[in-house]
Amino acid sequence: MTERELYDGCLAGDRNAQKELYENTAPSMLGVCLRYLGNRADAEDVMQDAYIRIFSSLNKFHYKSAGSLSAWMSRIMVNSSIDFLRKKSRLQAGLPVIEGAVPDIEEEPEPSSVRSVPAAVLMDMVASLPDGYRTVFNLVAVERMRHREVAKMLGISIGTSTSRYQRARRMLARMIESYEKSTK
Amino acid sequence: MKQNKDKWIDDLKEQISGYEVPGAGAGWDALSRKLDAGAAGKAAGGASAGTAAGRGWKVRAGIAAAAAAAVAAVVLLLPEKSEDSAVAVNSPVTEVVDNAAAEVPASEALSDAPVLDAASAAAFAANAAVDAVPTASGAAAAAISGVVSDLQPAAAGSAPSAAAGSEKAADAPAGQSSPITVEKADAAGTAARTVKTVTDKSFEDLLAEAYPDEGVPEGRRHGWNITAGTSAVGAGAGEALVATRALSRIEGIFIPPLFYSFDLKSSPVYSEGMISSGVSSEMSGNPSSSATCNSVDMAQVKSGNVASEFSDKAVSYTHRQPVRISLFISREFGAASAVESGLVYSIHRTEYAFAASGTKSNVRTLHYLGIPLNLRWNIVARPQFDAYLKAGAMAEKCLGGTNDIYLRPDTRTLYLSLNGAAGAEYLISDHLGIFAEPGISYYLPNDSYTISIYNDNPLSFSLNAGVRFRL
Repeated sequence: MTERELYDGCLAGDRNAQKELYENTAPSMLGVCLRYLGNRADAEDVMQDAYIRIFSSLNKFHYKSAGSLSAWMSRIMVNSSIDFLRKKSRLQAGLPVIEGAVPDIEEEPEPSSVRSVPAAVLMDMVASLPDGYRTVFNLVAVERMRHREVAKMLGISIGTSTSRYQRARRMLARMIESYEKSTK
Repeated sequence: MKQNKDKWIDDLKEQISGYEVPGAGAGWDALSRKLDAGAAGKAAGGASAGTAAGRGWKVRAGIAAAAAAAVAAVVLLLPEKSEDSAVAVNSPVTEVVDNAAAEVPASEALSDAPVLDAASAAAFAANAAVDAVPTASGAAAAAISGVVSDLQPAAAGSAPSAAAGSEKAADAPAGQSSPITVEKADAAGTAARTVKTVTDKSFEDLLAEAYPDEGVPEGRRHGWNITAGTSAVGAGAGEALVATRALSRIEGIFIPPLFYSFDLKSSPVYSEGMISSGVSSEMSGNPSSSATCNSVDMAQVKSGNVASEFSDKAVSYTHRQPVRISLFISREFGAASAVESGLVYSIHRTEYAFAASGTKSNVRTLHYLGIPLNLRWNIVARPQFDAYLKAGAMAEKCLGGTNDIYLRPDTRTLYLSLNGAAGAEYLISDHLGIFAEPGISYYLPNDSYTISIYNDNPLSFSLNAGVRFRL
């Protein structure tokens, strides 16, 4: 079935359509949750709850074109992941110590061959970032949100969002640089 | 350069944004059971969360509205300061004036007096209707109009016309009542205001010396309606405040203002021309409330009365729009609110001229520094646009300025104001935005002895614009 047909079927409460939509999209949706949460167990829990939200609120979504449904589902995954982190107070936890460990004045390395690094390795690197850094990095670098929007979404200042993003970049750049050196 | 620097980020995004976790689809059975068991409950939970979010917005909007209402209520309901004392202090003056008026024809005196004339009053009448909407309540506007309409008959007939409906004016004997028809404009119980006077005992003593035998008849002390005429409210941005005020200095003792009235002029530009035009029209000599005040002063001169000493110190002044430079720092808390404070520097210029020197004008400059404390609530937050309400207070002091003996700066008094504004901000970047904030301020009454636009015009509008940096 096409995405549109799956949407119509899910909207009508067709359990088979729901199952097919789930099986088609769960790998990428779990990838989204994993990017934000850093561990698979939490990511799976959040994804399950997010799917329930998706199926129960599908009538609020207006299908526009191919890909719009998965984009909408992806946004729900992001929001559910951030809600989870917020509830666990993980957006702030442990940051002061780690923030001090990465001097602001340190020059950011410029990894030259990111494309040669396997996606699973990059995901592990992102997962190793502190929750607060990882969240901001994902929102800014992947979702392409502005710091101002990130700040409002997370309830932090723009300055905090900016500094977390810059530090996350430096940390990732160093990890990638070190991975490149180790594989040469 | 920036593109090169971000290239590895773009590559990283491409690698991980579509990352798929193998075996994720195996969780359908568990999900299916959850859907069967409690999808409705979960959905209700989600819906209730959404409702809570909506309620949160409504609560914030409610708080903002309540704050705005509180500011408006304070502005409209605060009692006018020292109106009683104004009557008490001015009453001796009116007695002096009464006696003199009997000796000198009002028309003769009027020709020399720097006064607010009927034309000014009429101009004010026209302006009042315009000003009323942005300045105060409709009731206040009605009061203003009423005062103006009362002034016109006085001008036409040169009669001792206290305003019709004015209880105290009705009490004054017609034969003696000079055309001083300064009337309180608060008949409608509004914020309209006319006269403000600072009590000064030495002045009363002086009058007692001037009338050693008869003294000052008690009945006359309160026999005058200080007309006034005008509302202190509402000089908005782009409007000049023109005032006439009598000052006295005798034997080195500064006598605080005895009486004054002021008039709003609708003037989008504070040009010299506008100001001079306002002053010159005041001096044209048509009888009106304020005019008669000054004419009586002049009468004192001609009659050799001791009160003549007051007349040559009568001063007409015009406040120019204050210019303000602010530096704020704010701290956001939560996603939609912030607290802000900073420093606000204001420069005030007042042009004034003494009756004795004709149209020769001087400029007094005062410098103020204030510390505001405001709360700000976002009511609209778009990626590049914010709209917000803010409310707060500011404490302000005069740092100094032109030290004229009659308009000397008061560096002791603390000026407290309540402020509210609605603002819009356009975000040029994450860290830079430009904003505009139309706002309203109310300055609480104080005991300052100096002429200040804050006291003459406690309710004012402002338009702040600037640049906001986010660190």
